[in-house]
Amino acid sequence: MRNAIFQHEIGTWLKSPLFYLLTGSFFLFSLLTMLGTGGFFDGPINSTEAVKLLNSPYSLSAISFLFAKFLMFVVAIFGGFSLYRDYRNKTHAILYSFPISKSFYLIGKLGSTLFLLAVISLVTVSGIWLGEILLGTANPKIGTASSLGYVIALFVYLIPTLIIVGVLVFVTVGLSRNILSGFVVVTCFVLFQLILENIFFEQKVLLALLDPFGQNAFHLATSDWDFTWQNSYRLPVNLIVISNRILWLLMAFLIYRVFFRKFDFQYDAVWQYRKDPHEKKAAAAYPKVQTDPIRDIHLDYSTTAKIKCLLQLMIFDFKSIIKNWMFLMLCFFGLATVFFIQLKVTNTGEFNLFPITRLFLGAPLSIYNLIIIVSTFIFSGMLINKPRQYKMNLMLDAAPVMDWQLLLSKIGAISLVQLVQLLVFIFIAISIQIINGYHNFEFGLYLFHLFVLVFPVLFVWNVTSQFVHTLTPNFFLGLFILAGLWLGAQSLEQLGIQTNILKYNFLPVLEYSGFNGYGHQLKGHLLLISYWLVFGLFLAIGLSIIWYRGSISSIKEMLIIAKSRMNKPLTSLLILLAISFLWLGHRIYSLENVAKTPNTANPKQTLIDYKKEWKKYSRITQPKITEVDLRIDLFPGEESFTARGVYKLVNQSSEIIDTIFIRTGFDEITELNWLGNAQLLREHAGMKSYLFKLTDSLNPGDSVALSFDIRSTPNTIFSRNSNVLKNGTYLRQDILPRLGYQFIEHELPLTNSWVHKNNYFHRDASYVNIHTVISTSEEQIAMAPGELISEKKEGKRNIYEYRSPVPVKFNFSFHSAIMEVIEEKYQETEIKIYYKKGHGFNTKMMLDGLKSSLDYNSKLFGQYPYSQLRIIEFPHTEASYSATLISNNIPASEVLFNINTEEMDENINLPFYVMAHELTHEWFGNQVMPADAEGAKMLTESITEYITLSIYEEFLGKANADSFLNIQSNRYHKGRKKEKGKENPLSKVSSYQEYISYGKGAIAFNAISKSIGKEKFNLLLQNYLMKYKYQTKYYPTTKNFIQLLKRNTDKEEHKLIDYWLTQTNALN
Amino acid sequence: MKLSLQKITKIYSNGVKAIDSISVDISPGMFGLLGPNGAGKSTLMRTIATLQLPDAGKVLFNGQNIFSDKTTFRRHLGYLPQEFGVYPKESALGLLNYFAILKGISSKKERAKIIDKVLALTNLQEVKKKRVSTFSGGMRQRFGIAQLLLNQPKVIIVDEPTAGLDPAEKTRFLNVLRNIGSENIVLFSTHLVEDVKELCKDMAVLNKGKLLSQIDPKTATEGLKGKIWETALSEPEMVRTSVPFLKLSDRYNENNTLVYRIYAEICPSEVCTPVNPKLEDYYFLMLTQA
Repeated sequence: MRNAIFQHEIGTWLKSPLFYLLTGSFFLFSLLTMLGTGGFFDGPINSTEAVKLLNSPYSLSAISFLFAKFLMFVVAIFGGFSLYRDYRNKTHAILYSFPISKSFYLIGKLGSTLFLLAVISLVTVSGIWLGEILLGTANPKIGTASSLGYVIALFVYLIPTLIIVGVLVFVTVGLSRNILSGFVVVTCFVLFQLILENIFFEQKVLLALLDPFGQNAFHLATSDWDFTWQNSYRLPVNLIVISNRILWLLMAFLIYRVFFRKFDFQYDAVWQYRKDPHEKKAAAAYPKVQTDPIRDIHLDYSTTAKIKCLLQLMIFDFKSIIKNWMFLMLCFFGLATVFFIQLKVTNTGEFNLFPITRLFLGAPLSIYNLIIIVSTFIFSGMLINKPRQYKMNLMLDAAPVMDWQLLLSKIGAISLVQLVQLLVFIFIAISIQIINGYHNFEFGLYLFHLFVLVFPVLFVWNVTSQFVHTLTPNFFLGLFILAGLWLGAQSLEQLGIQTNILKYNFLPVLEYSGFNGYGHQLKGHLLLISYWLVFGLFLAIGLSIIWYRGSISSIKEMLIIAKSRMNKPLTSLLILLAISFLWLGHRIYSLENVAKTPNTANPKQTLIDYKKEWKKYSRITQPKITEVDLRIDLFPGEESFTARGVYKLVNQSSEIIDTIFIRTGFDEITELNWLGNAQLLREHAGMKSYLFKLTDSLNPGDSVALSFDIRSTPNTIFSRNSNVLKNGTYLRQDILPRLGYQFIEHELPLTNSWVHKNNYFHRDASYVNIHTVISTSEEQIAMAPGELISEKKEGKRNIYEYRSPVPVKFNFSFHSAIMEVIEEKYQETEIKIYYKKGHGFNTKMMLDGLKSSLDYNSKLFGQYPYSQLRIIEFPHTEASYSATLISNNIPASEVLFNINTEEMDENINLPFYVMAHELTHEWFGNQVMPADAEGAKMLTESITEYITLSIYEEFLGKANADSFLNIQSNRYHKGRKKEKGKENPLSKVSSYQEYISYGKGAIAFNAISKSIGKEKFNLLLQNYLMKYKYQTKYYPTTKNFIQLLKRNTDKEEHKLIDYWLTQTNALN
Repeated sequence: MKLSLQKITKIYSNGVKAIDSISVDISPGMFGLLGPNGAGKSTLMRTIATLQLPDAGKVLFNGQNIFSDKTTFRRHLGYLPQEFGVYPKESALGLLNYFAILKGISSKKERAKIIDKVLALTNLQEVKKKRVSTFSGGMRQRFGIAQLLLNQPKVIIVDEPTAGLDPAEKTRFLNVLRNIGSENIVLFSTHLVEDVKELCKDMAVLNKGKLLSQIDPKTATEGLKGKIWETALSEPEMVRTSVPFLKLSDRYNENNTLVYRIYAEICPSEVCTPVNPKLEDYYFLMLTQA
């Protein structure tokens, strides 16, 4: 028997433009996503590297999760609308009196809902399929078609998810008879997944079962899939996935069953007859007729009264939102998400961070901000539509209240809600800090960030939302437009649009550092905020013009009303705002593009042309830099520096050199001075490359001096060109001129005959002697590589002189900041830790790490060559790594200084570990530099990791060492899963395969050491070090190391050595 | 005090002329707007309440065009639409307070005073803390009156306020209206003739957007004296007479006979008996002649 309700619902939607708009949009979205990811708009793809296939079953399922999230918007609309329609139009009053059964009615309604959701899923996936067709199998990202892959993505992941959420929305709307509840439910559902991921990130099976989207089940099912498997026809389905789907479908079914039993054909909602606390019997008797006239009421329409009225209306609207159960639910889930994300951010699984303010203002605030935006879209629509929805609009519109009072009360109410939400965020964040025993409350930072940087953006969304909802009386269409605006702003860059002036109310991420605050980019950020605020005001005025009261019969009438409102002051204000907006936009655009030359304006083409023309110079033999003499003057207040230097270049080859290729720093302005010893032959200004002809050729052993003057390029409001910060400067050697063509092949195959000629780190130098005089402003300390020889004050400048006592790698860092210092003399070495005030939590552990490393390595591998050793904290914005060794300096990120070591139990003692590891590089990575060949990282990182493990075990105990190994194993497995290329054996590891060099390396060497005996293994390391220490003529490869190993071990042990070092095998 | 409509016209986008060049002057007292469903009464009411712009014509209140400064006119206006709803979960007290703020009563004390008064006037004192969404139809209409009285309006517009009320509620409601109508302009629309008969000193008949007549009820019935007849003859039978007549209405009498009321200048037939004219006769006459 046909279900007439089902057919009618389908028929209604098929006549609705909104259905086609949504379906069409998702089809286009999926098609464009597929095409964009496949490089359809980018031209031919370089297919020499292995790439991930987009149409493998793995990838199809992965992409289905992305669309599932976007389709939640559609679920919110379709999910409850079939039921809501009857309540909204009060047709249920008639329909429920018909002789139809409950199941006939509900199955018809729910069935149509689920059918439409299935249709839209099919349409979305067909967009992906069409994308695959258009990309074609010639595209390296497209493999042979797999219909089973589509079947799995659709029928295992996407459709079941939509069914589950669809049923939930259907039931919620059915119970509440409020369509908004659908939106709240889907938002909370998405947040629920986030919360689960942050609570159960270690209990993978539980997480896999509980995730309603099935995404974590998918991840678990494919956790051990490497790149090859991901590109294969393997189906990403296992028992866990099926269990998850069945569990959630069952849950949906049970929820529906409960709803079914509760549901009845009643006029009023299930909750309608909740006891009203003020319920009294209505007056039944005939009334006494009141005859006293009403007199002496003062009606006040003065400006003060109007403002008072405005405030009262605002409070009324504000209360109506914050008392709304949907709003409270959204807030609850939002704050729960913030809480659990914060937990994850401060507890990465490997270490815990102190809950510093900066961390709250990162990922947790981003998510919470999104929730505020979602609630703004929903509840501003509710405020706009409420009078019409409850048929009070005519009475309210006839009241003698001005249009601006009504408008501003709504804008004000939403702003008030947003402010309260931000205050609640601060409250929660500070509570979490207190619970964690952290009391460094940066109220100023919270207030500035939230109310100066975040709130204006929210305000503009507020006004935009009110404008859109006023213009489109259809609530769903309004939401769709707003969602499109928000999403569009994020996606413009994918379409090649870089300028911020077109990204609607979207601001780039502004990073905060304890050292440097927001840095110089704050100005640009504030300018962008002003730009969008002006537009927001323009929209607000526009809103007051299009706002109508009473009823209008056509758009024409609306325009007539709008036109009648355009008085002189209003028009002038609009024109003024428009001019301001355009002027600001022009200004921003100019500042974004300042100092762009034709070369820098099109960097891709510049690079292509450069490589074509200049590659031939890669074959020219170059001298080596052996001496570096620098004078650097840092001006932190102006965020600039100047430098002057001299290189001594020595011909260390057997050839005569008459041409020298120089590259200068990209962000610097460099003047080269050969002192008459060379002429410029050719230059490429865009790539800062210069070819010089020497006046007198350089014979083998000869030298020539190159002097240079450098100054930093001034920062612009939007781009940071100078790496000098107001506090926490961390400059590297790339500010200095370098020799030789740069786009050469690195990590040569082990079989290459030239492989031992060059070291892994640089071609233009072996070891150098460096002398630096560095100055900075009087409140800061400046540091350079080498030992401090002298320091003095000249006027308002501090001047320091450093010199390296031994030759070092061409690897330098120059620092300047306001620092606290801890000093300790250990053995013959003076250890200093420079850190920002308030960041001293972990200095003791860092010291312990250094001392242990000094002890261990000096005993085995020779005395530490410096009498001074420094750890120098740098802002986390300056580099993504936690620390590195540069001569006798260890620059360390502020992240490392903020680790909450008190919370560590089984976790690795990271400050200790990092310092022990970095100092070990003095011997393996500095004194011995490997060749520029594949596997170089094994000789630096793997060995260092193994030694760090030994230090760990010796000083912190075996249990900690075992934890260390466990973490390395996890690291290996995680990295293996993300591997895009081929997994190399350790002896040929690539520099980007850190999961192998660090993770597997530590385990491999530990295994070998255990097998052959630790003492013997250490002896072998000593031999290796002694043989290649300070070598410049012949740099070792992994082949040399393995040969050394095998020469000094028994034949039975060679198999083990090969297993770990020369073969690829998954660790168990 | 005078409300003057001058050639008000309103045409909807589908071409329907909802109001067609209506001109009428309204003085203080109860003014009834009579007309069948779809006559344009609500459209006219909404236009006068400044909630709809006319396509032509003016509405003058004490000589001032109300559309040139709608807010000022609204200060003197109390409006109750034909169909209205209320916000859920709001008590009568709370909602009246909200309306009072909107109407410009900025003092909390004065608001409390006026709200008390209007609640008493409309006999909603005992249920003031109850949610308005739970009120019966009659109570809701009384609430509607209560809100419009808050600002002591000089012009009161009530659009079909007695529709759906039982006789007791209707009486109560009309009593309240009568009370407040003595010193102010009360424009009251209905399709029930007896409401106008009881209350209004002046009335207008509307049909298909046009003003058919403006007259006071007494004069209307006076003018029909000696011209209204009743007969049991059917229309086809009556057609045989030579006297022109207009059928006004029909009804079944206590003997279950269908009796016609007709209008004719002179007695059209010996089977016609003269009867006293009623306002309904005038109303139907206007509609028939239009």
